[in-house]
Amino acid sequence: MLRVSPDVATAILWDHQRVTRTVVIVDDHAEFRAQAIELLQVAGYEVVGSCHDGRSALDAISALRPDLVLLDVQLPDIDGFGVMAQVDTLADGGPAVVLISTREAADYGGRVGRSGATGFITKAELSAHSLARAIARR
Amino acid sequence: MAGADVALPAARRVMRVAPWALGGLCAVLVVAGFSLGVELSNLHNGLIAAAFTAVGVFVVAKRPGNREGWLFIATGLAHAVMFFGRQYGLSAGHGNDALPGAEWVTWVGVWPLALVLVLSGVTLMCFPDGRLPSPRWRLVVAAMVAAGALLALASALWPVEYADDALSVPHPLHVGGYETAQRLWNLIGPSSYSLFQLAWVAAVVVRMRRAEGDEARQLRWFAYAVAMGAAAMAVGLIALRSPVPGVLAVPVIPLAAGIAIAKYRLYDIDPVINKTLVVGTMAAIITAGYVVMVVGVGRLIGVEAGPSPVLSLVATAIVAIAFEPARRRVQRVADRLVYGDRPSPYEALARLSTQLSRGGRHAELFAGLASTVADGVGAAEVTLWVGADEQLVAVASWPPPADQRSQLVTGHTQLAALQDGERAHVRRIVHQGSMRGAVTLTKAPGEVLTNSEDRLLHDLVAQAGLVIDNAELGVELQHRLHEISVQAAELQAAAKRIVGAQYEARRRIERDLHDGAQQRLVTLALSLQSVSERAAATGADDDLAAKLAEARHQLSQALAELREMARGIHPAILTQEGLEAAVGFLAERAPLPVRVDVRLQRRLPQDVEATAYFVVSEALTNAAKHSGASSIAVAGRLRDGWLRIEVTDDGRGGADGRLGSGLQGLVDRLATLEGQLTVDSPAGGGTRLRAEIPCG
Repeated sequence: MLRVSPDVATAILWDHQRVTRTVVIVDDHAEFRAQAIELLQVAGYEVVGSCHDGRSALDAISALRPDLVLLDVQLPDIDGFGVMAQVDTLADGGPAVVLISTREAADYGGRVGRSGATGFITKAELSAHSLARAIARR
Repeated sequence: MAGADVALPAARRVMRVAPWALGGLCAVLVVAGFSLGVELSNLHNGLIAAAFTAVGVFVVAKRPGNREGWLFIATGLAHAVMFFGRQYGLSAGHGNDALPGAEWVTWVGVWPLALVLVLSGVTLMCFPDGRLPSPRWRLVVAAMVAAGALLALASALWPVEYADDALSVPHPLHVGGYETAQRLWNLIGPSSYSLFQLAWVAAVVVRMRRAEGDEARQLRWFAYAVAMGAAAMAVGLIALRSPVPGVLAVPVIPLAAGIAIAKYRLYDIDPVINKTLVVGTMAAIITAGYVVMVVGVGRLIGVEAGPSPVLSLVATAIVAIAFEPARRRVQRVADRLVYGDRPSPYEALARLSTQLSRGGRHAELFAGLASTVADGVGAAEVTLWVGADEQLVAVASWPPPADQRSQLVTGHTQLAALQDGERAHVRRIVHQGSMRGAVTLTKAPGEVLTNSEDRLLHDLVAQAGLVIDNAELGVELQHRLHEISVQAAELQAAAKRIVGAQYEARRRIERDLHDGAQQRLVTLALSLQSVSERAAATGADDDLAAKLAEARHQLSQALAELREMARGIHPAILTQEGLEAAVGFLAERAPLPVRVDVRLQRRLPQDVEATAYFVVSEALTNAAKHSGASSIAVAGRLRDGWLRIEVTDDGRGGADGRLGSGLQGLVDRLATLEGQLTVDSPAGGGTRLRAEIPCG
């Protein structure tokens, strides 16, 4: 399906990232997850997994081997950083992981940088654009 | 019978009957002897026989285990035999022909004298327990027995003693060599007898010097009797030129000895000696004074010899005037001689007050009180009781009880029963109208509570009331202090709990905010964004697009504000990364430039970190708002288990002692952590805020 993105840069990037398509979303808030899935689909991703806590996220990641994981920090069991600790980084063949949170990155100090995540997006700022930027930073 | 082996009942019966049988035998002999007439030269033997036997029987009956009683009976019986024999002989000598076998009977009454003297001496040497003062004395006794045997033998063979005893009855044996024997006897006999006397006197003296306690008292009785006997003899010989008073006084000795053995637990000789000394001395002084007045002064002023009424009157008057002061002086000397140094009432009270001022534990004070009462009043036993009415507990005794753990408890009614009036005395301790305890004391045997001692007891008891009151107050004070410290600890714990609860409440609010409102708004933001895109895609009018954009903007602001509010309630970074990072975060977002120099080696307990964070946050706010500063510095170090945070600004200073409500609340939080806050703010010199929190 052809999608017209408002942002040219994103279009270029999208072309380059044709392989980065499958995504697993992890968030304990159902409504937000639904909105995020819609947003991802509009942005051209294939949502292969939707998890509400860390355990199921780990299972999904290892089973589905997605290209991208959208990972909420605040999860009911282990938090996003805990999940990160058990997932291979992108360099080791793991998925690109973008952390999302209601809070800002600065509220987590240096943990975001140390976690090995590809990027961090405040939920309020989540969009196809910010997502593409986050991925591209790596 | 104490001391006897578990023998046949027959033997026991014999032992019980024997003294009475022997006593009866002695009585027969003595009575028979006296029925033959009264002979002055033999009187002492009869008296001794009666006295020793009677006392011996009495002692054996009262104290079956005492060997001395048996020795007394033996001595008495021996003297009874001698007495009867001699009475027989003397009576026959006076012409009483109705006595058959006078020679032999007399002989039996004469020759054992030496041995009987030895026996008497040994009896006295073994007083009061029936044993010699030490094993060495056995040699002395052996020597005495040997000498006595020799003399008795001589007396048995020849009539060497007959002349002395005014016996005219002839000796039954007629052995040659009488003159030599008589001469030797005159040489050795009397001196030997004197040596015998010396031996037992020496033994008694040795014993007296070594004796203590009850034995010393018994010996005092004995010595007293001997002295009285000697005095009677002296007075009789000097004043009346007759040995009769001395002889009549002889039975006093065994009598006193017997009393001492049988009743030594109850009577103390000291008061008797004391009174005798005083009375005797006063009598002597009065007599001497009278004599001097009447005879001496009379002769001086040339009055003729004979009673002069005027002089007699004058003498009487002088004696009457001088009596009381002289008596008191004599009494004091007698007291010192007999009782030694007992403290005067003043000294007793002074001693008590020294003890009280020295303080010490209550047990020691009570013991001191008991001993002071004992000393001051001259009691043999004192017990101090604390309590009231139905329950009294013994807290101190004098002499100190051997078993520390036994504590007597008695009731008020039983206490009243203790006072039997004679030796036991009870005084209730009353302080400020209520009964606090009691003092019970027992005087030594033979002593009574004199008036002055009673007065002293009254004063000491009053002091005791004060001591008990003090002791109870002290105990109460300790209880209160303990209660207060317990309450303080509880308050501290409660404060900690409140602060902890506050912390938890804030975390919950932040979490609820996060999970609730913020999530929904964030979702809303996405939703609006989606709507915006669709509106743009379907070519909606600009007005709609603009409205949507405005809505998204407002939402974005709201979310930012909520984030900031959440940080103010409970900063996530503090929990995530610790105080250092959190302070840095604060500094980044402060309206003024903030230099941060916080170096902590480790994470700290979360309440410490939270309190320190909020102190810095509050300090930064105050500095930015009120001080007119241009820059702020925050320093933090962890050293020696203490976290020290300093916030310094270069503003105008002059912050008065009163802290803002924000900082005051923090001071209380610091207090629950046992930390403290100090503000140093000289006018025009900036403000330095320092918080110190111990963190183990």
